[in-house]
Amino acid sequence: MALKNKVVIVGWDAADWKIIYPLLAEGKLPALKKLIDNGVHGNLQTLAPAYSPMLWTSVATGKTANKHGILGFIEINPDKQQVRPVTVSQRKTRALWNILHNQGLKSNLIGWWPSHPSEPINGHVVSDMWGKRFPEEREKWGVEKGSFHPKSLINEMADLRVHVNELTEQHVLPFIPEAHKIDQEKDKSLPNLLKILAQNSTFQACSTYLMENKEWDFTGVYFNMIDHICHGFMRFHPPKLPRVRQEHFDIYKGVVEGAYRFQDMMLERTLDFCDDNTLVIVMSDHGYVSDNDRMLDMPGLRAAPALEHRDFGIFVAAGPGIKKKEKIFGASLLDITPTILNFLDLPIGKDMDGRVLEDVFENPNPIKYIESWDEVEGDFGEHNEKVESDPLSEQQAIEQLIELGYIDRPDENIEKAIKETWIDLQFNLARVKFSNDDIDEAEKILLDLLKEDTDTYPFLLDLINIKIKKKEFVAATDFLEKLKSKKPKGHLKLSLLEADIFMASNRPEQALEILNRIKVNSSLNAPAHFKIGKHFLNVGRYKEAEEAFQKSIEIKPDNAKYQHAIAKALMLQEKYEDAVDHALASIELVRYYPDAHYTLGQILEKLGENESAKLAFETANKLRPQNIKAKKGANVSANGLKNNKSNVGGDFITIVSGLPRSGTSMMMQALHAGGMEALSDGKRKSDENNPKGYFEIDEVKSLHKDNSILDKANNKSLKVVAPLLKFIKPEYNYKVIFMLRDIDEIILSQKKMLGRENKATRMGLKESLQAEVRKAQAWAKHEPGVDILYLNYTDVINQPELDFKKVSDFLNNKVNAKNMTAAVDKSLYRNRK
Amino acid sequence: MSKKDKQKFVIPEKGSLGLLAHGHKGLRAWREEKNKKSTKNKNGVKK
Repeated sequence: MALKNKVVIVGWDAADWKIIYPLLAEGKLPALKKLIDNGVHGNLQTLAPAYSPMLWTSVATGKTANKHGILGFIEINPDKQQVRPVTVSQRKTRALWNILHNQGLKSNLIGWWPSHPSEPINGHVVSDMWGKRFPEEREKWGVEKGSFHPKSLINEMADLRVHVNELTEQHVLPFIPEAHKIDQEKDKSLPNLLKILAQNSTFQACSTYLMENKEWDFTGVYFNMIDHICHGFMRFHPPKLPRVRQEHFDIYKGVVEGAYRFQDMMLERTLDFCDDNTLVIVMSDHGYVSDNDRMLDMPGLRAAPALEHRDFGIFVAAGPGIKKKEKIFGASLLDITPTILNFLDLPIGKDMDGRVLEDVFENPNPIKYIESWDEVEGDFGEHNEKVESDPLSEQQAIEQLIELGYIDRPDENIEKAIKETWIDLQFNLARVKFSNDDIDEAEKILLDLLKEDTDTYPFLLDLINIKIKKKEFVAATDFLEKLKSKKPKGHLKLSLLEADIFMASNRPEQALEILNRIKVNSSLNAPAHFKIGKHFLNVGRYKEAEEAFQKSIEIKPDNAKYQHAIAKALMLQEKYEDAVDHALASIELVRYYPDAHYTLGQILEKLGENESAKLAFETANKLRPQNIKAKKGANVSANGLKNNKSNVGGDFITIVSGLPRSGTSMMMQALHAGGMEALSDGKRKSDENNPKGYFEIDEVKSLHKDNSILDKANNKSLKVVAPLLKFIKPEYNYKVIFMLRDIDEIILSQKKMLGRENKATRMGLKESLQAEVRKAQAWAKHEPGVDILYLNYTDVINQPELDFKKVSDFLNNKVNAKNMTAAVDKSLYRNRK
Repeated sequence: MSKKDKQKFVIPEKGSLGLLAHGHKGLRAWREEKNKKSTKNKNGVKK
């Protein structure tokens, strides 16, 4: 009989590849290396805000926090009389172990944050409150209520708790060889380290015991050691930061490395209990900043230590049917539960936000779905009665959260403490909604919070970003003024926000003035140069964009966003060899970067590397499956459509484009005469400026908001002005006839049309029109599935036979050139220079 | 990945990270060793 598949998740809170890779290279993490060599590994994208209880609940449910309901580190207890560490009672949806319980499978759950009070599932639950409180004497160590399931085994398990007083110098010296130099009167680092060590050793003892002695199908064991140690000691990790005192650096420089190595030793032992049918996953919920961006002074913001959490955690998986020695891209915390359910041949809920990581399997199981596990009737091993709390343990847990800086000490006035907690949770909910693009809901919550008499700084900060996103610039400016009036420490950062408002509201001069002013400030020079570069990129001044991005890279070479931006600027100048280097550098820094893979595909295509381009487009598509452009890019590269113009006889949309008054209406009219139906609503009647009609359709003017009009345009022609070209639907093939005309003639014609012939030309108008043409040309050059034909308006008027023959060839003979020629009225060529 | 627990450990009285990492068996073995030593010491004092 075939052995049944089992799953182990080993959670290393805050583990980060940036620390792991050098340790792997030095052979210091042999157990993890073994898994990597026998399986797949890659980044795991975190969620915002990156607070561990929210994240680990997303791991266990496959859902974002607005759905699962765990919104922070603490909560208000049901009788609204106190605040306490977050518990599972706030969770609104079923976790993986509940589903497995319902399916008759057994789970061991150890230390998961949050898992208290322990749920009555098939199997065993050691909650996150287990062994958290240390009385003076180990002999008098009671068990926290609700911290273990089943109760019948409590005595057997209680002895596996490691008390902080049991630890000796043998446990400390591997982390801090010069521990004797610590002034323990002033420096409390050592007792904190011991507490972390005791708690994590407890979880290791419990998990190995349960794995060895009890039947199980799933084991999930969570360790907070790396996270908690990073919060206390990352500032001392090499390389030494200038502001860290040498004697402190010498004492504590090895603690972070020690945490990883101890974690690896524990993993080695865990693997002893995994057979050939066990899928082993080692993962973290977020990374941890370890470079020069480490913060020595935490800003006085809510949950400020989480600012040091990096966006990417780690993911390693090995076991039956898992690919070997492969890197995977684009995995998210949300994908863990769907992937495990699929591995165990169980359906995933359609209401889950994650997806099955099919890429990790040699032959993935077919994916089965149900509407929602929450709608399934039956026993899911959930609490059906209130579990009494243990105030002493709760207090101890709160003290640890305060020590880590995750929460402020709750106010002694209980009403005030409850209100502050409510505000925190609401704020977190707003941030979850914001990150899910539910900006209206996020705004509503933040506006409500603004009415509270409390620190409104973070609410205003998010509201400004929401207002920028909603293009409500007056409101954004109002909030910014409110924020400025509070005279915060980081006022220069507000200048960056102000520049964002100006830039988004099409006032680049003001934005540039601010950015040029603050780019000399050492802490903001890199983002200031970057924003300047973005502006130049947007207006088609690619050389200046390149120079600005170059400066930001000189300051922060390991910023993937900057590397990607310069790659684009170089590509648009046709400096493909240099561009490819930067695109690759960007991907090397952050593998999960669909836009960078896409840009790389565009560049490689230009270099004639069609196979590699296809791979890059496919990767972009895998990372963001809705990236239709990338999907199409892959097809284009594979079939050579773009290069060979091989779309003979196929369907396409004909777009006539150019600047207003460059002859686009004339071309539309000629195409119509040539036999191609125009997509036009006929609303704009012919007039003196266009006696033969405009051939326009209203919906095209709002293409940037809704481009569904293109669904009706197949094999027809429509007019799209140059600045709107980039908003066309990527899933179709296009033939673009781009009308060029002398810019001075265009300006003259536009002025005449507007009745402003005698008025002076607006300053910069010519340059901005030229920039629009350049941008459109650059866009067309790199857009998959777009062929473009440039025609000069004057040439068409003077030699219509020749140019319309070109058009007919370009459109695969779908129009009759002779009929087009007959339709041209040379007398309409007015407004010549 | 299956591997039986066959390794022999030196068990220092003051423990080690290796013993803690080894989980329940390491923890119990260390406590046993400590108890043994402490009983010996107590007996020694009595003598």
